[in-house]
Amino acid sequence: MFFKSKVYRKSLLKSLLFVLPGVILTVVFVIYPVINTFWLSLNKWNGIGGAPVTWVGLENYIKTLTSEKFWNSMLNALYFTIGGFVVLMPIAFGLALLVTSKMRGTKFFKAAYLMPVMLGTTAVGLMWTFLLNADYGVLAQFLKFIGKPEWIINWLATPTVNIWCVVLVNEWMYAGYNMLIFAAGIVAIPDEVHDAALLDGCTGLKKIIYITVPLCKNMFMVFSVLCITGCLKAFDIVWAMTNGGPMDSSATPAILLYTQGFQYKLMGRSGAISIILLVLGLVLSIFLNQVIFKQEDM
Amino acid sequence: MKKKLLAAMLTLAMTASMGTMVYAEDAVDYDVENREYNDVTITLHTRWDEADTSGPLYKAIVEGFMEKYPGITVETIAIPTESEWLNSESVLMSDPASMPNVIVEYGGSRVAGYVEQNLVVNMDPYFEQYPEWPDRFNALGTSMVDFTNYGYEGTYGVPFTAYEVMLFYNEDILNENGIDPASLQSWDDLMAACETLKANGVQPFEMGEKDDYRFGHLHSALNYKTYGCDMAEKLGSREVLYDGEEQTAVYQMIIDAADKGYLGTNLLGIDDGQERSLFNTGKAAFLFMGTWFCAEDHSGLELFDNQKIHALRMPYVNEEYKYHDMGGGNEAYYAIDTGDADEVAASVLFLKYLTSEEVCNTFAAGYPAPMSVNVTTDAGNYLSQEAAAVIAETTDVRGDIENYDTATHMINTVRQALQGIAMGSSAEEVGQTIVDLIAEYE
Amino acid sequence: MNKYIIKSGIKKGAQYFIAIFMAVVTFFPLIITFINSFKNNEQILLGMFSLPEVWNFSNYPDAIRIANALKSITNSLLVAVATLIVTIVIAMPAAYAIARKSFGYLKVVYILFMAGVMVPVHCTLVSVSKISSTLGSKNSYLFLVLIYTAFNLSQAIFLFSGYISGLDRGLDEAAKIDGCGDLKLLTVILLPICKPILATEAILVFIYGYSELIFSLILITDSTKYTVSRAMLNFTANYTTSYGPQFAFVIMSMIPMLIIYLILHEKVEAGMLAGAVKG
Repeated sequence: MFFKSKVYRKSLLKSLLFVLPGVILTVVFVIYPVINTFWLSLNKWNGIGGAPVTWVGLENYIKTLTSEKFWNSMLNALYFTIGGFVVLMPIAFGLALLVTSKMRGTKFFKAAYLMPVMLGTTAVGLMWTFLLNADYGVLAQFLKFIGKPEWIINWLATPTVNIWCVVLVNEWMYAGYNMLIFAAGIVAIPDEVHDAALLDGCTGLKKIIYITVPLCKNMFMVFSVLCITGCLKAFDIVWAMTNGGPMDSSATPAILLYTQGFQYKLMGRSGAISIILLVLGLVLSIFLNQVIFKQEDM
Repeated sequence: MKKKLLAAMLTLAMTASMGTMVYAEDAVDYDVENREYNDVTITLHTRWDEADTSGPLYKAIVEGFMEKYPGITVETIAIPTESEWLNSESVLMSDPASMPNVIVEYGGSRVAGYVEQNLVVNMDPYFEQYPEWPDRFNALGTSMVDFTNYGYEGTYGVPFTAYEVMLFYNEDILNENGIDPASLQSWDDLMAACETLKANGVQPFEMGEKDDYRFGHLHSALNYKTYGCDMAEKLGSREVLYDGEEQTAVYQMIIDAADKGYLGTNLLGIDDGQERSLFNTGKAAFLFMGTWFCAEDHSGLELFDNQKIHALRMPYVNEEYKYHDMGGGNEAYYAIDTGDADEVAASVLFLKYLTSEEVCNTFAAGYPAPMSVNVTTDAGNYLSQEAAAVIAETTDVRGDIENYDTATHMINTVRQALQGIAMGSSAEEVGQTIVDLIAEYE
Repeated sequence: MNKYIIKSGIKKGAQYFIAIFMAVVTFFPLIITFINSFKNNEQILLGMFSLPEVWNFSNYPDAIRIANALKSITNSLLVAVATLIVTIVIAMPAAYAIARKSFGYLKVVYILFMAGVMVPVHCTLVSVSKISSTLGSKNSYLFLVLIYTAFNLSQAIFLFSGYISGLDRGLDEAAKIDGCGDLKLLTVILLPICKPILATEAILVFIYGYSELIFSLILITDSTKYTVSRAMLNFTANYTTSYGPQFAFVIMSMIPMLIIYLILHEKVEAGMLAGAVKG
């Protein structure tokens, strides 16, 4: 008994040493700042060191949840999610079908589609801002060329249109990455299934709908989790392309918490948005995880 | 463990602050020139842009200072993009441990917030120590260092460059369209000229409202030109309301001009840089801009080589306020009280060096923009001399009107609401947006 | 039969058409940016489609000179490599303990790491800046790397522990019978097996570390230490009105990533596939 407990203690100590560095980093740089943010979200503070921090209770939350700007930013996050499911998912899945098919050059195509994710968000955002410029950008020039100059609008400055531009650029960047997720699922389908399908005369689109998609269910789940949690936090690509403007029209919740905090100097408000975002993300991912585990049990 | 650390830090902080307190009571040494500096490092938080004409000049100032005072090292944080510069300043100023020693700012409520927390060094005792120093400044920059409106006596910081918002025009374009620049006295004259230009297929303005300070400046300038400079204080104290009649009238002036297409063809699609390059290449007849425009690098541009670009006073709306303009200090340098006497002294010394005669003359020669500091140099291009002549007649100036409000968020709130004009908002909507946001942020 | 061949021919044709079309969509923006990086302002303002009349090669030296492009690219590469090494060194043992040990507290630790995924990065700025100045670690790459690591741990531990859980425990048992301790088991036996997932995480961390902006903006103030995103941002500031060098900088910042990708793309793909299956 004593012996066992000694081994047990030693093993416990060892496991502790294994996780400790990670725990310390997480506590110092992630957990402590979050607790600090939570504290600020219950207070009013102008962000100046030494300035009074006044307790206001839930006021920041109430004002955030009744603010038009906040809901507009949530709508933009929703657009991101819709874009993910309606645009990114079909494209990524289609590309996955292509690169796992028997056509020639799949290696090249796979490499090509995956490339944008490597380029870095700032560079990609900057590049597309140039390309979408209404004066000299590629799209504008193309519309002039086909004789539809009246279609040229200021894409990045028109509400709703601008957030969709950003969403589409985001999909451009991540299509290849998500393609790999689906490709992994498709490759994992056993050959026998394909053969059986062929014998039953199940080919082409039919096969995709009735065989491939259901068997890739897990991949769709993985995609959903990544997509929803990613969309809620979207910041970099929006900041690089529109700074959230004009008039916060393309701001996502993450952009809003940044500008409210550091430009408007409403640190309490910014904290409230952070906490709402964090809680929402946790709830959503726990919910999705539950769904996934249930699916796997079935 | 954590408790111990905390206790230790607390003790440290207490002794440190007590140390300075004792020191402050004993005798603060305002004679920063004759102080011994051993390995003092100060940090400057600036918006300097290495790629701009002024970039190398600022760099030379820092290098010259370090050469003259070898005991002091100056570290510079330079972030030229406005939003990132502001965010960085906000983060650094959020905690005493991270505060820079000198910040570049524009006065107004943001700096007033720092003054309120006793974070900005009051320059008055230093000016007493060196009586000739305050004489170096002209009246242009006063508003940036004077916070009596906010209830704080004293002089906080030193103003450096100055500006006035003006109307620049392209002589060739006006000639071709039969417009006499001398006739452009009132806003109505200007609008009439715009109508003529537009009818002849010439674009009057190409404003870059993607940078939302463009309409912000237009709004401020039109206010001063309509109601006089006092409007800044009236609006700031909320004696006049943002959704009141006076302000709605100003929004309407901008809306009328924008709706007729005078202000630009792609308001939200271009930024202020593109705005200038369009004007510089003859794509627009007018440019509404601060005088920093005169100092920019225009080498190789035909219009400047042939002296076809000229400066005019911003037209008045109400003749009474013809000589009231938007302008003043363009940037000021504020020494931050970090609690370290050596650092504060070194920072003040840097400000003194920055505003000294030789340094300013060299700077102004390389960057011919108006200064809040007296300079004796006749260097400068024809355009900056024209601008100087306009400034000389100005009787009263104010800066961004939103900055006279005590709420720090106003400058962003108002500029954003004005951006709505480019997106089709009505004058009432602009006022309503501002008032709603004020209520929300109270 | 004939009909079948025609049908499959059309199908094949459509496949290739779509594949090539998508490849064009992917490459086209890059090619346009590349072409425009050789133009001057007037030519760019005339429209981005056309080839430059005069090839303006000076944009590249300009970007290198004014924005210190090469230095910042080197800095970013250094930070990215350091981050990926530190992340793996810290995450791998933690993931091993979580996947293979059954102490109750490890579940809590795992949840702690996972919750980190949902934290909006920007709400930590004030606190991180405070910690940095308390420790006097402004301009320290080490501090920056530690923060990058902290924000990559969730993902790394998620991927690693998932992968290790999927491995046969028999392997561990056999090793233990041979007298392998935990550390040896981890480094000698598991590490080589985990190569695909390590490659995945390495690439993801590398991309993050190379292009991260916000923390580098707040923590790195010495212009000789600027990272790529930071330097690019400075370069596109208000007063810089010539576009050619900006395009050139964008292209230059992409080159190291493209080279790494060209050399490693098969491993990257394999790794990402492995990661995706387990994730």
